[in-house]
Amino acid sequence: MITTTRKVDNVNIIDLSGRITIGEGTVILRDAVTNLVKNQEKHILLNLADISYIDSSGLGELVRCFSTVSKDGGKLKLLSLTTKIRDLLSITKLLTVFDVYDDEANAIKSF
Amino acid sequence: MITATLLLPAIHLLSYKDLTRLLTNDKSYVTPYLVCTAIWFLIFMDPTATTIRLRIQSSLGYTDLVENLTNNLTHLAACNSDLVYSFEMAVREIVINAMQHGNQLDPNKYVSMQYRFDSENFEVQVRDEGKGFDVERLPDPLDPENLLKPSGRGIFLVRSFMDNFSVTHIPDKGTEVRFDKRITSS
Repeated sequence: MITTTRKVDNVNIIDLSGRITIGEGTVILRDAVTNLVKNQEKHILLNLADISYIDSSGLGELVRCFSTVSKDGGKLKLLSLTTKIRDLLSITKLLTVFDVYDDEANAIKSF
Repeated sequence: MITATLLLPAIHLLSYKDLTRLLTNDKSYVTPYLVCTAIWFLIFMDPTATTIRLRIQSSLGYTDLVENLTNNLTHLAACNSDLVYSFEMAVREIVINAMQHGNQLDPNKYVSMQYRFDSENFEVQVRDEGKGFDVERLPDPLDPENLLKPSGRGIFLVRSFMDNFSVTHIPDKGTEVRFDKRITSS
């Protein structure tokens, strides 16, 4: 999995590409979010538009990242879920945990 | 079925190096030697169903290979894209569980798999060398108390996507997880 981070209006957007699965994918995601938290960043938006697949470990890592950011007084939100990933979050009731947006501008405004 | 009859013997006759190239996009995980020691195929030409058996070491490096195999076999069974995805997901989750929890990622322990499919049903069996678990006692990942837990969703997802799911512990042999799904709408 590949990540790039950019900042728009005080919101850190992590653009993710590939698969969030056990091993390399989950570690890369965790490191990207942890680095931002360490740098006192409070607003994090995960762009999942180019994520083709998430396994249960990937879902767990999303939850872990959410908890890490929340405990630090920050907010972590999700952007551009594919249909299959949205279904996964729906089945596991994680759509009740995360704020999810289809439009980047609206997501940024929400922080 | 005719395609399977022609294709599977051809796969069986391929060298192990060709099998590696066929099943994985990343050669760094599997060398011909590892394939020879870690995997063998038994292909039975059952006139009513196709059965393929696989035995792999408990290394997470093989999960992509298993996912690729599942992709190939579900396409062979003429599954639509949703079914292919469902089986890829289910196999991946159960195999990872077998390796991590059943076999404790011990490279001396193996995961045995069997795919069996016909025109109507696709079934997968995954056996590890562990002591098993009671699926009914697993924490409910939908319980509000568990929503923020970073683990515990794998079995739930498999049961959500499959028609049938069972766990059987065989004393002195291990634990077998079996799941299947109808692949025809008729």
